[in-house]
Amino acid sequence: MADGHAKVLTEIDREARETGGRPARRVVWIDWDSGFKDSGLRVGDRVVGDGGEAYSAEQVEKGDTLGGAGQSRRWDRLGLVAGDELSVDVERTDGEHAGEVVRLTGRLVENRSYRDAEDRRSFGDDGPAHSEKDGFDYAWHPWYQKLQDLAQTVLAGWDYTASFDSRRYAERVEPFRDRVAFLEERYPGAFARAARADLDGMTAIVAGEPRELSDEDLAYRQLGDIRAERVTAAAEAAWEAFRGELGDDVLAAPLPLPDPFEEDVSAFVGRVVELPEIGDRDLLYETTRSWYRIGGGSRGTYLIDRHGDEIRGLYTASDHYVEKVDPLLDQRRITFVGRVEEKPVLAVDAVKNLTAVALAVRPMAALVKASGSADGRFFVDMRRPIEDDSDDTFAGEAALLASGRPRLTPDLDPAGVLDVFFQCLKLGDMETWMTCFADWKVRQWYARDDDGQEVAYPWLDRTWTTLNERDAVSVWDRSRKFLLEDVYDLEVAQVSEPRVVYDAALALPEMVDEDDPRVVEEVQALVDHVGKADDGYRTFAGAQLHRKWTLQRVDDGPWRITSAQPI
Amino acid sequence: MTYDARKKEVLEELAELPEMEETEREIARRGLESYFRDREGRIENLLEFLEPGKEPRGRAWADRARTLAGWAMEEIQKIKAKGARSFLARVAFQEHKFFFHLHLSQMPVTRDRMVRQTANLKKAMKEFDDKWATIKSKDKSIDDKLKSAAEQYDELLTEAAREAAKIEKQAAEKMADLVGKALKVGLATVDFGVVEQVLDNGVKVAQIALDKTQDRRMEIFVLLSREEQVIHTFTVGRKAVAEFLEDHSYAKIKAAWEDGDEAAEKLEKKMATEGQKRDAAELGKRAQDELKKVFAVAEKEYREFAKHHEHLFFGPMGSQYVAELAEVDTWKQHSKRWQEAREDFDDLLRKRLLEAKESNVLGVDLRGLSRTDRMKVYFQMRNACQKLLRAWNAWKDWNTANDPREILDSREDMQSHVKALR
Repeated sequence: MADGHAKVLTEIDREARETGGRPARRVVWIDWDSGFKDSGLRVGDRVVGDGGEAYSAEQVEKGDTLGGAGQSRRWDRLGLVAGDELSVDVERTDGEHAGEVVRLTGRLVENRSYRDAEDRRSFGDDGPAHSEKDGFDYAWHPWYQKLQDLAQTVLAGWDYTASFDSRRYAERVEPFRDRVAFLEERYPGAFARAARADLDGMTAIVAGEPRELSDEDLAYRQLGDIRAERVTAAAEAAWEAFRGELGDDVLAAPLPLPDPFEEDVSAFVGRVVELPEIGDRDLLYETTRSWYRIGGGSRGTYLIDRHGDEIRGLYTASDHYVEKVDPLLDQRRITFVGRVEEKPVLAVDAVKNLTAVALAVRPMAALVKASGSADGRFFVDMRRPIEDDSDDTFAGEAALLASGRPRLTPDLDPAGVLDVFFQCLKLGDMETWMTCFADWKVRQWYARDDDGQEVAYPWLDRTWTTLNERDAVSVWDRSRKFLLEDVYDLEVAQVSEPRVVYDAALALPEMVDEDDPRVVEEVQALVDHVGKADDGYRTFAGAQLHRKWTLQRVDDGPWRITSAQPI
Repeated sequence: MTYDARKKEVLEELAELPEMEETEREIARRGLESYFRDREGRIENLLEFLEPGKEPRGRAWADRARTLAGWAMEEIQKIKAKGARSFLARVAFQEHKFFFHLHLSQMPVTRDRMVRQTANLKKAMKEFDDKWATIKSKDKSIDDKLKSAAEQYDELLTEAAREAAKIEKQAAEKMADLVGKALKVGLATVDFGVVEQVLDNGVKVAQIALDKTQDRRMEIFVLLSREEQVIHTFTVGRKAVAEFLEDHSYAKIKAAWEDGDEAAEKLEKKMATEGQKRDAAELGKRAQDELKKVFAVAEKEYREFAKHHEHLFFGPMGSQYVAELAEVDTWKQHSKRWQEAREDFDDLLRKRLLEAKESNVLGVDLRGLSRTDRMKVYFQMRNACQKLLRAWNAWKDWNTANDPREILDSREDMQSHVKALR
């Protein structure tokens, strides 16, 4: 009876060790002639036991397991030889059986080498000789070594290798395709089938999963040029209609205007005037109010009260424009049309050292040139009240797809918090985005025990900020850039079960006050990035993208993000 | 050391720790002394954030105190002394909380509130200085124009009466002259057309006087309306100051200071140990000193603001300002003169010299002439006399109907508005 061999390579699953999970060995590689090749076992699987026994931590550390350095001893002890069946228990973190333990059955095989008719070492009885090139640049043995090296990384999945870039690996997989096809044709057999399986497995992993993204999903990307174009067309039409409605009554506001305290301006009072275009900086600030100032110089200007009832409509419309058209709106130039009021205004900006004696104008409408990620225009009719929840604050708004402002409510689960977090990035709502981060940190207090051994005790630092303001700007900018370039959507793929990372009962009593929180729970979330592929939208992994996110909550409070990183 | 109560307390506790090797105790003592040396300077530096200045520092204080909370933990954690595990952990945690309470303190918030109030008062002072200067200047400019228009109006009234009398006199003299001549040489050689011409000129003068009076009166009303707008602007300014003082009155500034004082006092109560309480009390006292300085700056600025604007833009309005804005005395004199001029004119017209009768034209007795000649003269002069009489009556009627007293009324009305602010 020949000794049995699994021909599987495993390593200690460090993640399980760090997070206090079940002791496990991670499958690194399955040889082409392994008896587990067709068992369903996969590279990346976490093996938690075999032969019906769960692995102990010590066993895992020593490698006295499937694929471990001491596996031969284990088979001897279990009385297993080549040809015998062996069941292995596998815990999967993804797919249909995520979180469950699956029992798979393989077979131990003889650890032997093969030779072809010419007595050359070969890949099985019907496989190619190691040294044969078959017209390729190099022989089958080094070729298979390269395939194996690549497959060990790719088949381990996106989350095992740091900075995994699925598109880059897709490029590296591609050159193997022709040679595997050749192999299947020339040397059909176990080796060819194994190479095909590895290639297909890699192809599936690097390809990602297809996703359907609707116009609504992608609406945030249109918050630039396309939407601005549509809204501009609507603004022009509305402006024309508005002007048409007023007829010839509109006076092109003359400048400089006579001083209303010195000269006769009665001809203007009550008239509708179209004022020259102004910018966001043409403002005059007093201690208790502020004005849009139209016309230079200290005399003969027009002022529009920035605290008046009508002007609020302009602010609401601007907010909606930012939300629905251009989140990067940073400059506006405004043309106001309004009615000249009876009483002139005296306004003083003590900082600019500017005194203005002016005619007050009650605004009726505004045409706004908006510059940000796109150049557009929007028209606001301020003759009617404009409510914040209206979807008609500027011309053409109602025809736009509604994106909806994200709301970070306390009842959201971790996936919900991440959804809001991503939505904020899409819509440019940095204020809400900042509130998604935790303002605490679970730390360790290291102290020596009575034996002089250093021991770590958890303590809760409530003074922490996950992301300070300066770093936040950088993280925000990078994330927004990704979302307007390679990344088309983000979705929470998986959220782990909460685990307690701080328990006041385990902390040093001296470091816990009565009113301090008792428990902090943590979850790990995996996030899929969706990108554009030749055949539509697919999930993908990028070297600079972050799939792993951590969220915590204090007692039963709201979940907050503790990962200070861009998407 | 200023904040050594906590240090003393901790070192005493360390000295009392049982079952500890002396070498380990020494390690812990040295480590703690080093920590407290640094702590002293770091607490002292925090006070800089409470000093008077122009910029807000609340956030900087909060950031620094939060950093210090972490620093305290790290520093004490570095002390590796066997047998002192629980003791050091407790000290570290208490120190962490000490700085955390400083982080949460409202002292810098109230300090920033006073700094903001100071800056706003400074800005408002200039703003309302400029407003008052503009209002005064505009009011004076309008007043000057009004006075000039009123004087012209005076002039027109007296001039019109004078002209009317003059023309009447001229016409009467000429008439008397010509009647005398007719009595001597016969009516056929005498031409009464000269008197008609004088009377026609009188009609023109009356018309011009009417036109000019109407223009001046209109100008006065336009100017008055502008002055009303200036006064309106002033009352709007007073409302703005009232709104401003809702957050910047002396009481509000004092309230900010008192809140800061209270926050400084509370600091002590928040702390966990007696030593920390004493250190916090010391820090609170010194913080109160700093906040007092900040209050003094704000208070000074308020007093400056009040000095400039109390009794003008807020509070009862001073008589001097009332007089500056709505001066009435001159208008009383004008009004009196207008009244007199109109009475003179009434007298003039009441004499009925311009009425023509068969026996008397322009006050000249025609009874020396034959009845035929008398009728001739009467018919020739009647129309011219009536025309002139109508012209002056029209002028008089217009002036009566548009009594310039209204201007004084309007003026007094405006003054009553301003006076109501006293």
